[in-house]
Amino acid sequence: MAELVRDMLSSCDLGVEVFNLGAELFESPRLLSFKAIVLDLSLPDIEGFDIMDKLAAIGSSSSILVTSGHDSSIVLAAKIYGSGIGLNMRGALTKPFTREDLLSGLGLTA
Amino acid sequence: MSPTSNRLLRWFKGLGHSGQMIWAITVGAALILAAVFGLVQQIVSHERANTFASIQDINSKIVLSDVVRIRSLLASLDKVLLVVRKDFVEKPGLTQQELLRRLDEMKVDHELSPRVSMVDVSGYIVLSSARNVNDAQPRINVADREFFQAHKTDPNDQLHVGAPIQSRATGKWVLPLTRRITKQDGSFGGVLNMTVDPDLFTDPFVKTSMGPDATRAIMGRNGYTLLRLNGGNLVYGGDTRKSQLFTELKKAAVGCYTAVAASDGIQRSVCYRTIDPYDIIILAGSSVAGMEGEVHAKVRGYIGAAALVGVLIVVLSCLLIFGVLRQRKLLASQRSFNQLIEMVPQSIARIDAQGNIIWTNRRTIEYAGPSAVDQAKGFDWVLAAIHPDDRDRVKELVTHAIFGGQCEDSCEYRKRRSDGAYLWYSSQITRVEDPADGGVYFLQTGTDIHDRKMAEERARVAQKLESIGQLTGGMAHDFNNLLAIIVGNQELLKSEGLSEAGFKRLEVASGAAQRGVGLVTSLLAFASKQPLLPATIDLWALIERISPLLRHALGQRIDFEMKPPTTIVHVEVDEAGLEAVLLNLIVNAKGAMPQGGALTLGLDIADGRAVLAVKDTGAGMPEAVRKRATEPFFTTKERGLGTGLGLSMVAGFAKQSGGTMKIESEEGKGTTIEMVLPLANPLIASKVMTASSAIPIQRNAANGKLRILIVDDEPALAEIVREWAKAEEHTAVLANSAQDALTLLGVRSFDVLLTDIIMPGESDGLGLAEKASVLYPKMKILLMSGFSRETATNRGDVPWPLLVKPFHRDTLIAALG
Repeated sequence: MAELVRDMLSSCDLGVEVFNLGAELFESPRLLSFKAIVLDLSLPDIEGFDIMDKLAAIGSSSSILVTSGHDSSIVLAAKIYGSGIGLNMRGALTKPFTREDLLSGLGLTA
Repeated sequence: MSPTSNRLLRWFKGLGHSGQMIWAITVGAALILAAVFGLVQQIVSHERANTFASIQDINSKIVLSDVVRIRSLLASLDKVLLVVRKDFVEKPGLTQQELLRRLDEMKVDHELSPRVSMVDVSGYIVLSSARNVNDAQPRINVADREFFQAHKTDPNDQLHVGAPIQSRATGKWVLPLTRRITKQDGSFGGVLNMTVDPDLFTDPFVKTSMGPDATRAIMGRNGYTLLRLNGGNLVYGGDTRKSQLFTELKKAAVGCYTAVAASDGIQRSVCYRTIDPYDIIILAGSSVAGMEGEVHAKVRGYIGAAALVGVLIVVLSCLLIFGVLRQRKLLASQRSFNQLIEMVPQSIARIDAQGNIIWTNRRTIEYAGPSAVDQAKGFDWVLAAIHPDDRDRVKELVTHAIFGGQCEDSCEYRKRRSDGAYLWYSSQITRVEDPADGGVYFLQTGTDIHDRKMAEERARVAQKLESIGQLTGGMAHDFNNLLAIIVGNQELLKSEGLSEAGFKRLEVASGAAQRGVGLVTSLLAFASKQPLLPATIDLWALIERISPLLRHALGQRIDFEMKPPTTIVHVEVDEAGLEAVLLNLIVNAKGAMPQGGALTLGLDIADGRAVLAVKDTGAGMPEAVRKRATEPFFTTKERGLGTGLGLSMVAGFAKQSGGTMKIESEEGKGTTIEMVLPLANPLIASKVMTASSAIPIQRNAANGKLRILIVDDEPALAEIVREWAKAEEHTAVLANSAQDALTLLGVRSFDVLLTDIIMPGESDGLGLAEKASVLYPKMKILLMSGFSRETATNRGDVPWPLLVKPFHRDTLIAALG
């Protein structure tokens, strides 16, 4: 899935980095310099909400787009939650989504 | 009436039927006793009469024989007197020698040794056979004697038997026999007196005495006793004019009577007879006491026997009464035992060794039907009522029981009820040996465990459904990820300059993938319907929402008509449950209309309740099926085609929601199923607004750090509060509206809710606090407002603390505790 997102974004001439685990993200030295984060709420190790908590705690200013295979109410709740803790929430996407959905969710154009 | 007898009466009345029996026994015994004593009385009086009569008979015979003897004695002595008197009259100067010679001539028995004397009118003895009367000797006067007075006054010429006299010469008792001497002019001329020894009369008395208290007597009619034999002693003389005899004599010359003798005070039965013409009476009497003694001796045996019989009767009736009382106690205990047997919710039966039902309680009959119990013959019959799948198992148990084993917890089986339904039963069977005849029988108790079994079954099915739901949810998630990869890659492919044919193929694949997306969406929708608590919903809106699904489920051959209500109908139900119920009803209706038909789904309000009606034009149900339609696992469908849980679930749902379900059906015309549900007030906050999401909740309060949800439509202030909280290392989340706050509460757990009261939107801070306090009772709730408490709350007191803006940081920290 992550590879697909990378492919979808590759045409926009962006630097894309993929983290399969929440822990990997927080180990990354570029954590605070990401412009945008596409966050799947169901990661194997950390829950999406906890990742958002941590991001808020370190004062992340990255745009965040949450996505999930679960129904839309959860991504919506996640978006409200993220805003509520002071994250820069860009939007919420329910899987499956199209490239257009993804790009517009990130405020980009193809 | 005394308290004791009152109590006794009450006790007796309380005995009822037994009391009547005791009464009857007592009366019967008394009657028998009276009869026995009456009989004895009769025997005694009969015996007495007999004895008295026979003694009287003997006495009168004695009297008669005395009379004969004494009369002839007197007649012969009188003859002598008459001859002597004739001599004397013819020759007044008769001498002693001449008299003695005359007496010799008449050959008067020497034994009689009569002394004859002549008394002149003055009472002087002028001639005596015993002594020479002359002037030299003193003259003897007898004018004071009774016989002299008698003859002087009585002119009749008749032998007079005078009162006994004690001789003035010898002192010996003699009996004077006298005749009057009458002069030619008829005047008194003296008395001719012959004295005889009284032994002449009394000798036979002694020989024929009738016992110590017997009496025999010779009495003069003038009231003087001549002689009397009393208890073996001879008594001479005595006045007897007061005796009962003289009363009796006035009635008859011969007779018997009973009287107390004046002389010795003894009561006697006396018989008498007058000796004519001598004016004397012969008596013979026996003492009544002696006669009674004789009677007693005779009847003693009878009285003894009667007393024995009486005692026996009393003892017997006591035994009977005790028996009745014991029987009553036994009956009472048996009755209460029977009541108990009929009261218990189990069926109880007594079965003989061949398996025939000897006795059952009512519940068994209610279950198996009266005819079935009557027909119950043998174990084969018993086994025939067992469900075929359980029969072998039960047979084994019965065999086990016959050989003395006990069936404890494993005896659960299905048994046929009178209407043919098989219900689950738990049974115990115990072998009992009758000590009376050594026979063997079985006591069997059965408990209806059908409901429990069904509940277990339902729970199992529900569990299965739930796990299927969870599985589906998880799978849908995975599928979405897969589909996302497929769809995304397809999109990327499109921009890679494919050939027209290739592009078309890609389009087809994309279309299929999109359909897959739709399918997973609906699967997920189903899976996410976790068991919800009731919520207030617009019922028709729900129906409209799922109507496409219902229409689809019905298929194309059935017309689907919806009749909306005239007003909005709010009910408080489990939304997912109601959807399942509607789907169930639709599927049932479809099953009833294999050839097509029409289905009407209508909603209305009647009598203040919501009435949801599903009406089909199908085959309808026979009465027997209609009655059992809501029974779990009852199905008319072929095995494997239906669980038989549909209508039972619908009915259960209606009941759980505080409503009812009603089936109206006519064979060939169709079926209408009505679900009546209570109306809900939409203004009252329902207990549960949304389902909590599948994402697990984790409390974060363990390290003292709080998770705070701040709700305010003024972000500026909220931001300040969040900074304060952050400085305290609490996690603070902002929500702009009550709606957002509820959404967040649904996915994340919070320790504190800090909400502004006045906010735009459907729900204000108070509404949010109320809902939150119900949904998340562990969460601490704080209110904040720019107005004073009174103004802000407006509806009086609220149970949560209020922070009045602007508030200081310390105020907040203090409020957070």
